[in-house]
Amino acid sequence: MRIYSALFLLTVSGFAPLTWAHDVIGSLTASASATDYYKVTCYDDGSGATEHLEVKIKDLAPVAPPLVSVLVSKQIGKKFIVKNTTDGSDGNATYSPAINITGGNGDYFLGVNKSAQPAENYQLQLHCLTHEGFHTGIHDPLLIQNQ
Amino acid sequence: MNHCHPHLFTTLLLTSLSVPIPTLAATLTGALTANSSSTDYYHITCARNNNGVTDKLKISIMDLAPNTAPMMSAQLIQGMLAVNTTDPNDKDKKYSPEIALQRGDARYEVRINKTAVGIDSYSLNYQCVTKLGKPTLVTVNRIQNQ
Repeated sequence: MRIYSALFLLTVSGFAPLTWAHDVIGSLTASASATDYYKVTCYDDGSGATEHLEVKIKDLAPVAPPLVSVLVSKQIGKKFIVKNTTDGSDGNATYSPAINITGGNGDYFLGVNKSAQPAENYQLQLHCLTHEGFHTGIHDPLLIQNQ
Repeated sequence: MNHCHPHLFTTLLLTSLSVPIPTLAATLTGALTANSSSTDYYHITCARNNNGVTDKLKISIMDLAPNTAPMMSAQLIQGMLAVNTTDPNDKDKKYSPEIALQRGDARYEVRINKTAVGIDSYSLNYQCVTKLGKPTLVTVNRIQNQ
């Protein structure tokens, strides 16, 4: 899986810019059980504390039967929040419905999966947002598992 | 998870009372509300018994009635590992391909989701087993019910 993002390119170039959103492009191998797993961290970069992480996913080429989904979880003390969203149509330029996980600053865990064989590609879009809807800090998504 | 299969009453009753009781293997039924983002979330804990220590947790999912567009999936997660299975056919009575994580005696996460709008229900089969395939103790806690 390859990750493309403006932040990544700037980071490897020696810059450490502030960033407000991330697009992550990834792929899942042919196995129907293939799952990519990420940690995404929201923080207050001076714009304000995070209220929620907004996540959506887009099924990229090839146009194939599998539907691509992302499940997002956040633990707050002993409480857990889990939501999911699926791109219901492959072959267009539209993202899935956005989901908001109201978990504040901290680590969110994202699992990307598909509903069948064969291999598929996807694009995630991630925003950490304040209560007022302003962008706040988001660290580079950490790819924990790449399948 | 809004519906309960009759013969699983005891297991689910105990779960709802927050008194999870270890069993050897089980099936639970649940339902997801119409919202496409609805997700059920479970903690499944494997523990050793007289058969030995747990080698892995195995799960599979079956999409139950109604026969509608959403496909039902289960993500199994433990630590830094995650795996997924989807029931591709809503109209049969077959479970999805079985998936497993080999993480021993541990607490595993199971997330249930569907691919579209519409109420749908499911059956989740789960079993903790030793390296020799013998069952070990398994306890389920329902964390989120949507």
